[in-house]
Amino acid sequence: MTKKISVLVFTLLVIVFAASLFIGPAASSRDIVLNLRFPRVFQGVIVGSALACAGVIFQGVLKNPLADPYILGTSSGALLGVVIFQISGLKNPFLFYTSVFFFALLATLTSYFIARYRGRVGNVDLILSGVIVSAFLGAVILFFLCLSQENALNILFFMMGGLYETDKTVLLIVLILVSGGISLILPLSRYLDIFAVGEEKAGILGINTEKYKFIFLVVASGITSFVVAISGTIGFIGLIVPHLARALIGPKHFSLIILSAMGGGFVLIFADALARSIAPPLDIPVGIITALFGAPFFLYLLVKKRRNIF
Amino acid sequence: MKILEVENVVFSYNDAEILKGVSFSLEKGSLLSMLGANGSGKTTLLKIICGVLPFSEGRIKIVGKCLSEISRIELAKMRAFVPSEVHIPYNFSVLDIVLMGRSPHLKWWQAYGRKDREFVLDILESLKLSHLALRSINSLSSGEKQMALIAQALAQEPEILVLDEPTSHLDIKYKIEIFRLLDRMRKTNSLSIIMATHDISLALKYSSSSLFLAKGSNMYFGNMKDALATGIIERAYNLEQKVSEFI
Repeated sequence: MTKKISVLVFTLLVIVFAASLFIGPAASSRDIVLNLRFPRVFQGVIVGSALACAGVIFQGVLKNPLADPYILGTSSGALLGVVIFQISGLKNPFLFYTSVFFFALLATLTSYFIARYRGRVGNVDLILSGVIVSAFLGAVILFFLCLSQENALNILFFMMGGLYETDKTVLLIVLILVSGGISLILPLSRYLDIFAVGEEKAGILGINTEKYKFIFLVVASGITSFVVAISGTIGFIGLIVPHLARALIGPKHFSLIILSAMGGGFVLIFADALARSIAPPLDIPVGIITALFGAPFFLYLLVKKRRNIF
Repeated sequence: MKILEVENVVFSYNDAEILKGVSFSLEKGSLLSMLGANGSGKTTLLKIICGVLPFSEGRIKIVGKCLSEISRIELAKMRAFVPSEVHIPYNFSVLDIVLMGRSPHLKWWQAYGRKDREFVLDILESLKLSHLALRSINSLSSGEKQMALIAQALAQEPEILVLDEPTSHLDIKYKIEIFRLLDRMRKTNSLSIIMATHDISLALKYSSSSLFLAKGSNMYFGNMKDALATGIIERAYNLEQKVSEFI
């Protein structure tokens, strides 16, 4: 059953990938398809996979079905890293990814520790602390934008979240970082299952909970930050996709990670094809589309939460 | 043979002493019932024994070894813990949940193997849960769920099983079933069991010894029938009536 669904989702991904190469406001000339749309769709797969997997990891390790890199403030942290780097005028790519990663991790850990009380992290508390962290970081980002007016418009557009990176080397680097992160987590998926049942249970079963929780948070923040670095903040992919995947194949994390990686790519390039064709010749940043669909989905989850089973 | 020795254990939280020097011991293959009013420190003591909470003073020995000298993974093969109430937000199957109990016997990179699966299926069989193996843990009745969580604990192959009020929100059928299961496990597998409980009549019938806590101190450790005879139970719960009138 799990295999059949995975094959089906993979087929869908390939079809949408191919089809969306020919969707957009401009005519599908060879040049546009190869040099503009291919990198864009390719980026969509990387970004969608990374965000969906980060969502799966957060929802598992925190035993919180409402967690996602956007809601926890991880994306805002990464965005602050991008903005600070842009304004500093530095060019070193290593420093760039390091600073983006650093701020993303800092934001995640801040949300986590604000919400933690007596060793427990309440589901709604975590959402609220994510809101607090995001609001604060948002203000800091806007402050920096005011300081650097010549960059402001560019950065503002970047913040809306879109798939506009055309440098193939950059895409390749992010692909390697993201797939590295995901393959690190796959062998640990058994621990993620146990964390999803409870951190105390993980301790009872002999797992070094602080160490592995840190590894999970670092990897989820890391893959989030690397894709935010190229595409801005695209919200709710990390929330919607894991829930759909879980509804299809159940909560075991090994299959859940693989299916979410494919599903995330599928959903994001589908949304992006929509963003390109909804109001031609306008090209709407895909982050706007995912938020339009994602926010009501979040509401749906909150209502469903009253039963407390996802 | 003493499998667990607890000596003068003190636990403080924010300057408040939650446990004020508790001592008792557990014989191999016996069932110890821990009783006391709500807030008397039962859950805290159980978590300390399990190594989940640190304690500030005193000494705990498991199979002759100090708790602090036992590694995480060793400890996970020595004791298992069934908490009083578990909420699991995702629909894991009963088989998935029980398999997790095999975790201490695997390296971090290993997946559950055929042997783990067979071991777990045997446990489900012996607990008469086989027919529920593929059902979601959240679709079970409270009693079935509690049995599944006990099965998970047994999958660890512990020497000591620690349970925190395992029967508190179950109907009488499952209360009896769980007490009888524990009684069977201790007799046939010489499993040693510590259980916090409020079910005085069942505890009286099945436990080998009893520990009464009151406001963080142990007011009594010994045979439960004597506790009933000497009015210990009434004092532990601040009762004005005689308990024997009700059981």
